[in-house]
Amino acid sequence: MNDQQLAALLSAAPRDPEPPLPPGLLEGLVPAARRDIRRRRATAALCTVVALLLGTGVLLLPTGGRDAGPAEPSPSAAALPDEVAGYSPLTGLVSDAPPGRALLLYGYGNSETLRTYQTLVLSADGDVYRQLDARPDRSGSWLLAPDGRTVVLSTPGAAVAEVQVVELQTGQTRQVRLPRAGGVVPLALSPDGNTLAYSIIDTEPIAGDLAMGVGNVIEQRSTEHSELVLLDLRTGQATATGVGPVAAAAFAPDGQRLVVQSRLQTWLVGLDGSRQQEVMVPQGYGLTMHNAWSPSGRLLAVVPWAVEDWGTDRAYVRDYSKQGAVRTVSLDEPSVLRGTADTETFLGWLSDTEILGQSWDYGSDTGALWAVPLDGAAPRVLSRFDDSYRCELGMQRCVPWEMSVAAGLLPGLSVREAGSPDRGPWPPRFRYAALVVFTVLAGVGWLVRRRIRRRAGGGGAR
Amino acid sequence: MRADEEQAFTEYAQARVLDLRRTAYRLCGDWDEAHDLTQAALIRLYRHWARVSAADSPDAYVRRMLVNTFLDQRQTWWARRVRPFPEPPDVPTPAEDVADRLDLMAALARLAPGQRAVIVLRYWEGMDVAETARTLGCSPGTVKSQTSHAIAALRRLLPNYVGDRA
Repeated sequence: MNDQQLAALLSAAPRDPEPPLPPGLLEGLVPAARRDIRRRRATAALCTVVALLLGTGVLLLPTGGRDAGPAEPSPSAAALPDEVAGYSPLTGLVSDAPPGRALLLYGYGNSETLRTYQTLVLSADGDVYRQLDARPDRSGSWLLAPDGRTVVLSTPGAAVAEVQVVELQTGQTRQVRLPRAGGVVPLALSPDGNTLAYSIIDTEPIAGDLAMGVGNVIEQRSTEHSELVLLDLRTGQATATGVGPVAAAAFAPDGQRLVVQSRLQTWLVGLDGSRQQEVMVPQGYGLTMHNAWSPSGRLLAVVPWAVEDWGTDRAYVRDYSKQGAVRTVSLDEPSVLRGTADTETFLGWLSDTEILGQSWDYGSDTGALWAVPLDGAAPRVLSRFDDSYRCELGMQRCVPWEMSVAAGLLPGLSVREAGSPDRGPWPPRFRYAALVVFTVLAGVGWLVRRRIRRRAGGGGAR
Repeated sequence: MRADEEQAFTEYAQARVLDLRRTAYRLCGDWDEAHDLTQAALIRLYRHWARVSAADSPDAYVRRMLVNTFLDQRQTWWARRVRPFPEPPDVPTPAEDVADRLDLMAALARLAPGQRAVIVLRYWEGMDVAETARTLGCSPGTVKSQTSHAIAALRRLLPNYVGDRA
């Protein structure tokens, strides 16, 4: 069969007798066509309304994102992703979509030319990242509770009369008033997160420095002039211990006493503020800034300390000129340095034989969290930070600052393969911007369509 | 639509409805469905009448609407499951004229909708490749390849017509 044969076959085929047109086909055509047009317009309008409602709902409702509701407490052991997700301005807010218990609290970003900075929490139970909107643009002066459920915030560089407590289960922030205002440095949270140990100073003598924005002036002065206060975050009741000055502190694992660094001396202090016993750590050493007490209660993490004396005043600071980084001492025999862990920043105890540290990974050229054995064995990377250029509009890499860990979750911590980050619903300003863009685009689309239809129809279309 | 445009549309529909219905029947092989196709195409024409009436060849537009309506309906879930025709026998038996026609229509019904549209437009409606391509909204190359596939399929479906019946 070819073209000609097929054409001949079709033309030669006898024709069926054609039936008459169904009654009303032509007569009902115009009314049917009008109904069709009305139905299409109504459908288009309905779809537009539904799309707007859906878009508005997704963009505006705080619970529009994944896992947006308050997270349930998880009894399982905490897990750390082997890669920490990179910077994203679209990361949602704790107040919009609470992340549940957190493992890390850290500042993240860069500000060489443009300030791109976030305060983030990473969930202990998944790849959930949220911006801590109670402290959006300044780092430090914060503590993540050992159980990872609350964050305590003070204000660096100013006298305060209250501290903020952020509940990561609900996203709510509450204020806890202090018995007196002053320059506050949060030092430690009890294992249950209910008691805050902080140092406080009178800021009058350094008012000029604070007015000029001199960095760390409260922290430095606290090491020589502060007093230790214990604050019950549930009731607001404060206990002025009379112990001072204090530069670092850590709660015992049972929460019944503290170890405190006062100048170049280390003391055990009761919850009533009584000095129980001096811990005779080797000369030149003092407690790490946070989480110094090991989970077993037998060991303390110590680092080299030095005194800066400029005649009229002094300050006690971490001595970075000494190598060897973190050492450990036993409470039974504190004068003997035991383990050694080479890390840039001590974060907490993984066990009595291994600590969690933050150091630069020169192999990958990025920041990393390390498990550092105390027997001098080689540390191993647990998790790396993103090494791509995401900050400052892609001009710089982002770096983590002022990391605080949920120390109580570190024993038994597992490392898992990083999943897709759950950043929650967009921050409100991006949601509003997206809504505006969406509305403008919808309006422009409608106008263009109407213009095309009018042009095509020569102005005659209804 | 203005009253004068509506009047022009009505007059055009009255003048062309039988031709359109015939083409629709050739496409679908069923008079009832041909009525539905014709009505759907004319309703579509009403929506675009202002543009179509200003065109050089409104008939080409309308044919295109008709073919597109036919192809759209053939792509629906329902059309793919409910065939409006009885299944044709595997090997048609040529006999009388009526039987020949039934065989031909049955064979056409077994073609894919696009191939059937190509055959109807080219060999029944007498369009050339370019016209067929414009009507179907595809390239001439596609029309040629679809024609080739359709003829090969008809050759298998109508083995007794090969050579000696044309």
